[in-house]
Amino acid sequence: MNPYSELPSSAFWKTGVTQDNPYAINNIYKKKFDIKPNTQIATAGSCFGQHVGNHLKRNGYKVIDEEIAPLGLPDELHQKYGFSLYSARYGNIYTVRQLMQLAQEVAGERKPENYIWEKNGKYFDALRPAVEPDGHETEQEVIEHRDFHIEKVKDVFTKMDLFIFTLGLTEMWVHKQCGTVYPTAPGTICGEFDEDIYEFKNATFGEIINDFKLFQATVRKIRSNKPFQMILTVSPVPLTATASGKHVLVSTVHSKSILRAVAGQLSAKQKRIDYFPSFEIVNNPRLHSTTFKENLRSVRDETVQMVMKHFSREHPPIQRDKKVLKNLKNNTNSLEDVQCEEALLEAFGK
Amino acid sequence: MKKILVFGNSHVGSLKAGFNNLDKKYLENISFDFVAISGKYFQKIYINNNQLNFPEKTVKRFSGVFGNIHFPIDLDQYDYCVLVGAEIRSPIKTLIPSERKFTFYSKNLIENYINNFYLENTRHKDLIYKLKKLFISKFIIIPAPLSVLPFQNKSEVASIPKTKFVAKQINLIRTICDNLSKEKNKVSILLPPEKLLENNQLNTMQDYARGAVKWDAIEHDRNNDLIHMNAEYGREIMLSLIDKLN
Repeated sequence: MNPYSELPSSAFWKTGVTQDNPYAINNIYKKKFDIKPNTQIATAGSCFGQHVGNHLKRNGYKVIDEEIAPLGLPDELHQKYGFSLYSARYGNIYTVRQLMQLAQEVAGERKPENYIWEKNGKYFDALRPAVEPDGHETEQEVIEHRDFHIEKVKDVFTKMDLFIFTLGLTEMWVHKQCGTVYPTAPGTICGEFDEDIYEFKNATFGEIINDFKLFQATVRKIRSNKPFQMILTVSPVPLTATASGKHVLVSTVHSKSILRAVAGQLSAKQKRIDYFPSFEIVNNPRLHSTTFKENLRSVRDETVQMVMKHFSREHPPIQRDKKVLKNLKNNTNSLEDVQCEEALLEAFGK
Repeated sequence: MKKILVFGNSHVGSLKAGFNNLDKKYLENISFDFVAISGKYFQKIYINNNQLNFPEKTVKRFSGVFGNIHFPIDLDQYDYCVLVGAEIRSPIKTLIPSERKFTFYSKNLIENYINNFYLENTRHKDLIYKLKKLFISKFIIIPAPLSVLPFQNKSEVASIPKTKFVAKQINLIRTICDNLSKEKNKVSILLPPEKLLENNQLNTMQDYARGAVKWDAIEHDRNNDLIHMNAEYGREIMLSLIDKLN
């Protein structure tokens, strides 16, 4: 008799990984709580998080969408203009600090500075540059649209019962003076890089935990202390590029390890936070990287389906009236459609 | 003398009734023919060899062809074609379904939407496509009137748009639609003048639904029909149309 002798097969690498079906891994995810048919779900995070939201909509869950696309706008333009990706048009939120700053802005505790960037005479909201790909005509228009967006994010934070967040990156670009964090490096989609103004930052484990707790405290204030649940995932998508000075493979493992540890720590310590192991399912060595497309970075559509099947085992589709289901499915992107501005960095490679 | 064909579904009725009340001074250099096809039969209309056709057996019962014209109608004789109602919702309605479920769109997106997708989502897009091809920029669309709120909700309709964003978006939609007529190869969209709308600018004033007329331009008991408008509404729209044509 020893501490390992009574453990289940999932506790052993041989039976849990080498010999188990990688497309339906036993016991890899055990839910902490149910998602009820009326649970109002908000989604945000790195681009992989878009798949989670789409899956939930397709399966009859109530996913909040506070900024809806015009009736009849083609699907491809939903994505182009940042509709139907998440619960509001914040675009991808790659870092926890970006999420925390957004919550502070919603709470009126933070007024973002230096967030209007210009390119070819058009003006962009640098905190979500991809949602208006052709930019605005004036700076004032950017300000008004941000004001509206923040009102809507407040509605999301107020209405949600469950917040699903996909942690994506630790690396970020920050305005030196005011600390504003941007989702993209200045000069990639818009703006111009100036090393006197912007600096690179790679968040540590402790910093991310602190930012996350600040995010929670801020949202609690917005919600007048009404509790909410969270599911965290870590994006399995490797970094497109790193500005850390290290090899991109080293940087990817560094970032993902920290994010995974953050998600693990938070879900272990807090009863209202669950962790869904999409990262592990995709990066399972048993699959020899076949979960990725040829660039060994983008996740295949079948992989997304396989990941979400694991999710569905614990959170099965909600049975709804066909008409209701059709409405819920509207504004759902096809599997391969994810909008990922971080991938644009590939164009800057030699 | 400009010759204009105004045709569409039951909403043509109020325009024809309004036209009948127009002072002749507005019609010195312009003549109008009106053709209305009742609601569900509108889908039977088709264009062939530049002629507007409607099945003979249904003509008598469900169409209002006013004056000396009859099917098939030769479209080449007209300088302008005005399509009325025809299940085309106002862009104000499609872009602002309600104040509660409102999204603030950028100028760029609204322009893109109105220019490229708005008419694509209408039931009669093939008909619109053919008319656009025939008349190019001399094709004007008058969408269905903005609905009237139930008569008991007077306090609700009196309110101005609840947020500055809604008001701004309405102005933007109006400006973009106004500018369409100045552009080549673009279909014009004629929106109702602001004075016909409640303060919220999203609903037609209740008075215009009283004594609403049907496709035959005759007043019926439509007090509870919050979709069709009366001759006074039609008169204002006709004046607005004549102003655009001039």
